[in-house]
Amino acid sequence: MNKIAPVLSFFKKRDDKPSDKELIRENPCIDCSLCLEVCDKGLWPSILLEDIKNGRFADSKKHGIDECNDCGDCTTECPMSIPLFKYLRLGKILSFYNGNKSGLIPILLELQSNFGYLPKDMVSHIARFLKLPEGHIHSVASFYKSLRLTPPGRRHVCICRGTACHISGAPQLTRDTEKLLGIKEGETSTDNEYTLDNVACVGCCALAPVITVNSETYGKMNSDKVQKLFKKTDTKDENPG
Amino acid sequence: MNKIRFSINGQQFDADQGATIMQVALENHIYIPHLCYNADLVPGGVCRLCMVEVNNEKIVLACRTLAENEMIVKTNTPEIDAAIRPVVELIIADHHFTCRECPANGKCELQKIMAHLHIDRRRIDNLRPPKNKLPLETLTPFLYYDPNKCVRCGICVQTCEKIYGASHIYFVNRGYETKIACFESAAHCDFCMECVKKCPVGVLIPKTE
Amino acid sequence: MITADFRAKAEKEWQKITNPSIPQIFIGMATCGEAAGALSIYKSIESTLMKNHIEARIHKTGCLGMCYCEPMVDIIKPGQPRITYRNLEPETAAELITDYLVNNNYRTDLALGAWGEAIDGIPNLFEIDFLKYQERTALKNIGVINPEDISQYIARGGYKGFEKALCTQQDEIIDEVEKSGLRGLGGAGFPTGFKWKECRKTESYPKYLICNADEGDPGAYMDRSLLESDPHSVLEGMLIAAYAIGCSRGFIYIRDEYPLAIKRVRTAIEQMGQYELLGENILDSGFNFDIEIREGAGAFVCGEESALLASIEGNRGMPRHRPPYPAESGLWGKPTDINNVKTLANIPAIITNGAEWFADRGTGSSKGTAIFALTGKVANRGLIEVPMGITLRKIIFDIGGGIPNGKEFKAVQTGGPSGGCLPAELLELPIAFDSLAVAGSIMGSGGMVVLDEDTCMVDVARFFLDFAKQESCGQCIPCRLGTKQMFDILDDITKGKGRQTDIDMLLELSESVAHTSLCGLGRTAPNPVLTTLRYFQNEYEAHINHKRCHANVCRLLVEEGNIDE
Repeated sequence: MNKIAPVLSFFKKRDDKPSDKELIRENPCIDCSLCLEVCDKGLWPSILLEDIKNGRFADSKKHGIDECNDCGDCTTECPMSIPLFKYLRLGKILSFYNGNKSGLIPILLELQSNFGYLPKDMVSHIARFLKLPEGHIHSVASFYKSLRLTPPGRRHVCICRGTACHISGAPQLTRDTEKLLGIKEGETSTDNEYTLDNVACVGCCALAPVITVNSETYGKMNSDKVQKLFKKTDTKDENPG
Repeated sequence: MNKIRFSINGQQFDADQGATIMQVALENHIYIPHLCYNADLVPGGVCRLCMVEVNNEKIVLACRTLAENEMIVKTNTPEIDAAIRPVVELIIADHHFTCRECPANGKCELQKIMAHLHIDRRRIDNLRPPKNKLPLETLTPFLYYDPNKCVRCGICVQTCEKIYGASHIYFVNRGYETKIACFESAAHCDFCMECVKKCPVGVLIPKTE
Repeated sequence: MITADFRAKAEKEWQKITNPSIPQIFIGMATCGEAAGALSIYKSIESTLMKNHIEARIHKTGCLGMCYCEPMVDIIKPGQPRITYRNLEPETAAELITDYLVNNNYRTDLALGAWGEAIDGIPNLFEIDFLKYQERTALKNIGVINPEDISQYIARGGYKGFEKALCTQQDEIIDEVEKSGLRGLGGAGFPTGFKWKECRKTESYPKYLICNADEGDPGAYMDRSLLESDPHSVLEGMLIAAYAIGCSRGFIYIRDEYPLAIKRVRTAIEQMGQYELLGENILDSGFNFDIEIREGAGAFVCGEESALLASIEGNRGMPRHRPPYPAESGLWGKPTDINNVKTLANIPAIITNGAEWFADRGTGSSKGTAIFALTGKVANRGLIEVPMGITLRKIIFDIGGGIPNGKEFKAVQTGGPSGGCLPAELLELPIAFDSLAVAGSIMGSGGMVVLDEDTCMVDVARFFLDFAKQESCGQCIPCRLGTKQMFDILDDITKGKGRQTDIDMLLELSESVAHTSLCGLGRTAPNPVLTTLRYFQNEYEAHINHKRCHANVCRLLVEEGNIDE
């Protein structure tokens, strides 16, 4: 199965535009077909959007959604700032599945690896796709620890709470990190920079205690290393690339 | 239908084949403690209180075990008491007690169980009550939900599902944080009151009084 | 059949690697290796090779299980044995390349061991303490081959077991597994052959096979290592099991916390497809089978068979009542066989070598080998495979090298949150399913965490109950409220607010929760409390009566205790 690369960074840039959510509901498309013009693959994104929004996933396949290469041009060009890209991505994820209930958790995990969390409007589309009540999806999503219904910070910090990590000082590490980042476990900092969580066990017990930051693993941590880790990633981000 | 004959606490009973121990016992006015059992619903077997001893050897759930011919059922052995008494105490320690104001006062299953087992309140003082009281939540446009009293038996969820096909209310979260919640679909709730009637402890409170 | 041609080609290719004309460099790239810095070692070696114009081949292998030596690099120089180097840094790795490959200096100071005879001050790798007492069956390929190359697995005798199975009657295969005495290595230790037989007997189709790789035990990572380092052995086990039982569809349920394992298994499944080891009419035998990966979404309870089924079906991962057992009514109500990763990894060897060979090792009703992740306060941390019946002392002090920093051994925790803590008095206890159960712990899936004198046993119990509380599914009342109540009591004790009645209360609650809970999680959740109370009651009493923590872990106790007084 193809795994699609995360688009998180792309949307982080666009999040400041307030219009996205409200606009999509009222179908603001003005049929300017600019999206069609810019699409390298010759797709018509606004048609695909209609397919996906109305749950016609078979049609979206017919209209070539598989060919979308995630360039994002349609979204940048759209004069009405419709987040086309977001919906194309959803359509593409769903096109790998056949609408059985057993696909629910894989779909949610994939959606999350794309968006960082499970956006509410996406969940209702998935509910329609799988012919499940929306409540069931919320119920399932709230059960599993990996699935989140709120957006995480840009850096998702997880402190391992495995046994080996615990006896090697994970509780102290948690306190240090909490102090350093100014947030408690389970919280996201107000600038959306950090989310601090714990993880059951990442299976690197020989390197205990362990911290993961956006699925990068750092072993043999201590207070000094924590300080350095967050300093280092801070500076790294100032010079992207 | 085939008839079977078996004994509960030494008394002989006739029953239809396919009946559970719980059904026969309740029909014959033998009380077996239960919270999640409701005669109209599929037994969930999650309260774990209806334990009975079968044939002097194993302990089973009365709500999920079919009565068999010549079965010997005992509902009040010391082993059963030792197993379920702490569970009841756990529920009481966790249950927010305002019996006098509670709509279920008098018909509450938990009160019934406490009376049945002669629960000693002093022992409960050794347990740790929940640290904070949770606020009343609005479940549907017509209902309040009191998470402090809820025993998470699932009767309301099952009832709603049975009536409407797809339930308006769901379990959310997991572990100790599990509670009942509703989503947009709850707007379709037409206030049939079935869940309120079936709730064993008076957790669902109608808004219009 | 995997054609003789192809096998010969794979073996020839493997010959070229083990007896090469240009240097072969193997870098351990499992999650633990990467976390220890294997990626920067890889880059450093690559650039050093470029700089010095050395022609060499770099292989990414899995992990040899010697996590205390990570990052590790193996080098085979033409005419030399494979030499393993340990604890490298990017700089030392670069030095090593120039020193060994250019200047013929063995760098004895960095070497861990040579594969075969000892040379020039480098000991034989398999004679060093960590490996000397091990008997690797399921783990025989880890760290040796490239897990992303099926031909290396085939060259090492891979899929021979499956080929043999295809020429055998299904019932005979099951008999063989039953005769071998193999028991489920996921925790419960249920006889594998019996499980297969039950599932085969049930007259309902299709049948499903599930490989349970939802390794949630904190402090255990055997399944991760196995899947990352040798996925084909597990997949071959699945093929044999599916053929024997008559399953047409298989799932491998992996935690999403293990992205690398998922990636490697995905690659392995693709390669199997290319060699006609999956799909329809596998190897022209008329047997159809497909394997699908399912990712867990972060719920420990999904390691429980019936909760795992609920999760695959797209529901909340809540255990169901048993009976009916999955072998009768499992996934979508169809007969389903669920086996652990390690159990399946043992299957190919049993089929290839026979049941007697397997049953020769081990003791009493525990046959074969046990795989442990030896971690915690022990010098040599890593993955070990030892014959059943070996004593705890041998594992911790001979293989593990004892407790570092001159500290005293206090206890060893086996079986994760469902297991218990065994004290020093039980060091002579032979490891087996029954002996551990008698001592109050369980074999579990194989986590073994060594605790030293700096560990507070009440805090350990509190830690496990915290875990159980967070991971309880919340369905049945004893588990949901019991784990929370026990955690609250333990939390109070570690904070100096313990009461005289607490020990009795904990015992009573433990018994009740263990007897009344619906699933295995709740039934075993009190074990950490029960064992610590049994062997370390004095610590509880010190906390409650004297507000003292011998290990100085419960610091709040001292501070707040003083203020209160």
